[in-house]
Amino acid sequence: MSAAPLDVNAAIDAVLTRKVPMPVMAGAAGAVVIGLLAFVAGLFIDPVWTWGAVIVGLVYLIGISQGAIMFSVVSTLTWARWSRPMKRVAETFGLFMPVVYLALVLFLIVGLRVFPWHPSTIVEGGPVHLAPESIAVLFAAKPFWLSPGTFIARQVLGVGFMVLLDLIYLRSSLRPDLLMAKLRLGDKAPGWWNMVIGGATDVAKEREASDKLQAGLGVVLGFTYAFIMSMIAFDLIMSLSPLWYSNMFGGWFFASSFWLAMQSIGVFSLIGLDWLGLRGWIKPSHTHDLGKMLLAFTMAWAYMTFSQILPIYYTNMPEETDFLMLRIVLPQWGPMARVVAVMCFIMPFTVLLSRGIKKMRGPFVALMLCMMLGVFLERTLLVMPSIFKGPDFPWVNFLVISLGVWIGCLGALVTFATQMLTRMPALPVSDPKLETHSWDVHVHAHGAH
Amino acid sequence: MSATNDTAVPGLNGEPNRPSLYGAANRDIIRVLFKPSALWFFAWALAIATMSWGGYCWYYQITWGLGVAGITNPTFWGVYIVNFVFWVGIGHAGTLISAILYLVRSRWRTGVYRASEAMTVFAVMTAGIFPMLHLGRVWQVYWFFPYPNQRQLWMNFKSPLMWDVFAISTYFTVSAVFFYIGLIPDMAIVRDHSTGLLKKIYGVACLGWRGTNRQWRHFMAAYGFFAAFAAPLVLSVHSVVSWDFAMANTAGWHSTIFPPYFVAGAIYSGCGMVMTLLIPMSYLFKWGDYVNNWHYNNLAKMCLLTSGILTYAYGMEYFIAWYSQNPYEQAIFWWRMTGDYAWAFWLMVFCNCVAPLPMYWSKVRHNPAALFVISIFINIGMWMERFNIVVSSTAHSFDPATWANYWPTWTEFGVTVGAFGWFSFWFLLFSKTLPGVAITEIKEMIAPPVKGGGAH
Repeated sequence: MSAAPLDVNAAIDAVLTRKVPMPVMAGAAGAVVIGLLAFVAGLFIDPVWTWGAVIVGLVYLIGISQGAIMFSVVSTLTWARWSRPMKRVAETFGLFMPVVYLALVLFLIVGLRVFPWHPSTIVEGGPVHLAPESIAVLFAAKPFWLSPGTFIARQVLGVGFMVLLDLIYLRSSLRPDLLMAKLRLGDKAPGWWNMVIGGATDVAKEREASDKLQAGLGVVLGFTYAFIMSMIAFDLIMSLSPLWYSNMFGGWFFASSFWLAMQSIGVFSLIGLDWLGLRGWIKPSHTHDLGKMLLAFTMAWAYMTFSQILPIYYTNMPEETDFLMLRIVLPQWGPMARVVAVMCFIMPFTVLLSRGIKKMRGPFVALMLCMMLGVFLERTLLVMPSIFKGPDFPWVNFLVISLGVWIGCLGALVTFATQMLTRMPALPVSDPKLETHSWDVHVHAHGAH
Repeated sequence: MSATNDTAVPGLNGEPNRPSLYGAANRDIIRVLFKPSALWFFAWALAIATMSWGGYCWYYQITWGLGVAGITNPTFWGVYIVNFVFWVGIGHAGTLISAILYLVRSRWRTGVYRASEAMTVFAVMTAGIFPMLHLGRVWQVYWFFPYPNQRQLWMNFKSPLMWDVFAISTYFTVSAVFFYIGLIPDMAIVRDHSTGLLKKIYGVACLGWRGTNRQWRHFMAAYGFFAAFAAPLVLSVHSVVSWDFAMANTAGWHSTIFPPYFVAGAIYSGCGMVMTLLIPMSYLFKWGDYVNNWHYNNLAKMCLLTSGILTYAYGMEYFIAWYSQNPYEQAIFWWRMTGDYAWAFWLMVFCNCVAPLPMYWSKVRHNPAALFVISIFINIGMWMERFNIVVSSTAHSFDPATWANYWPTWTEFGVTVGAFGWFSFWFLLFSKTLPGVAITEIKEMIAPPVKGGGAH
């Protein structure tokens, strides 16, 4: 830890010189190519699995991008200081959301037949009969709700609305920072900053307006996140098993997406610590706080997963249990469920109990990478068993298509985020809460840090 | 420009008006102890009167049997269970505020956590009465506990009701110990300001606290440990309570969202009750320096967050009932909002989803009178939510031939009112015997006294 006061001007000046390191650029581009190749090859090997892998990629990327925006929103609304040095990285992930939205729209146009409720589904067994079996049903929801037209309309409008709010929020957050940077850099500042800054000239005034707008919009975004992410979970994942339902599924999905976003932000910020000029800003105390948040959300993930499984297991009704049996008990998926339990709960919970590991950059990054892999497996486990009907686990499909598409998705995100971060300061430079406050001092019982 | 200018930090806006001297904190908080006013005696007498009335109703029920209560076929869970869930819920905010907010270093908890912890302990004590009332034959209360009968038969550990016994007794034990640990340094201050018998009592109660470095180190270790230990209990207790319902194959009860929904509701009701108690307490005890708009503002935000979660949960329940095409689920949710108990449903919706909305305005969050009124709505709304869940599903179950409405009798109303008296009795007693605000933690927020007037 440096004793010298940190200066945000260095973060501003770095914009002029920061370039994406060649290995990173090549690696990320390579990952995108791998993803595209896996997708194209998959369409020939097993189109149903491939579209399933695309759904996994979509919900994974939506989770990171939208969850990252919520990371920024929550930091703003709770006046948190520890998360401020990571706020801009989070918002950069958030800026990827329009790209994910376009990918979602493309998927809705060409990949919708992977849903078993689609009249011309490609899933083995043909379309699932959606009309209610009982004449006592008051409202026959599914023939209406799970029809291509309404499905596409609500996804396009719902997610589109959320993306619109995201952009307004992100512009508001970036505006005072870019203005401050522009005032320092003058004509050397990138031209696109003017679109964000508009005619603003007074940093303090913009800062105040930005804080006010972020706080107000943050509340709206919070509700939008809850409802739209639930809709995404119900539509893109739950409706793959059209007869199964769980009213916690949406909440569970958006909470775990936030958790995934924190992991991603942590990995990116810590790997890019020097490149982004965050060393000194992100101290061991910050990673300690991030680790504690991850530990809390690890427990929340386990709690919500357990809370969802237990009532279904206990009441033992066939229409509910088959979803769990398929994923937890049957031999083709059961081992993956156990791997998910280890990677998403047992391992992070055990390791994150250690105070030291949260302050050690390398091991902490490795742990978060494992957790990200765990969430990928968890999303795969949610999606694939609903559409894959084979008796054995398809290793080729998984290793070639699923992993390939996932790597491609991460490659696209890294390419986008690294490019964006060469074009703007990696810190919210005008944010007064960037500086650690004396109240944030860490006190441990035995004086050990 | 550097981002290090503290004077521009919005996060420090709205801090409490801190007393400038450590002595002032001692004086202001201790001065209200042991000197009950006429108003306090009136309130305490009222609490004893209502508690006695509740006690009489219970006596009447013991004498004449459980038949004097309104619970009968098909609704065997009535107001007693409603009250049980309500009071367990009230007991949530204390540990949330004292433990979880401690772990996340929220400074605003300092002014309010002591009273919240006391509220938690007394609320769980209140909740614990209702299973005994509901049992009817209270002399067999030991059946609750893991204790085999003469034929070595144990109770059904697979029953969520059994899980409840473990969850709530654990929560009560940990909350009470946590409450006591936090009180130790403060009781030492009371000891130092007392004479005679009181000095001896507080001397024993504070376990000989002298404030040495070693004691503080042990104290901080124990406090941190209990905070970490208590935090998961906040989630577990009401989750287990929710499973009393969710594990049953009953329409409207069997729901995966119940655990987080119940936990959010419990925090909502607990924070509401904290405001109901602390706003008048701070006003009457002239504690404006310690419990003020800064705290109310944050409590109001907690209520807004949890109200939002409740609104989401209500929405999800209805959406999934519709989406499921399950006729029983659809029927019960339709009946809840249109049937005989629709008034309870809409009152719940109003109090839990609509009434808190004015708190989105900062002016309302900084107006104690408005917050007090809203907190009353919150209490009513959360009681109604439990009534809505507990009663409607059994009154209107699968077979129309069994449908019948439930209405509590005067004995059940009497016990319900008596429970508020019982709770108030203990809380009022607490307010005059133990520091209602954590003196030592308040001092952590005061600028340390230094030579020459305190500038540092």
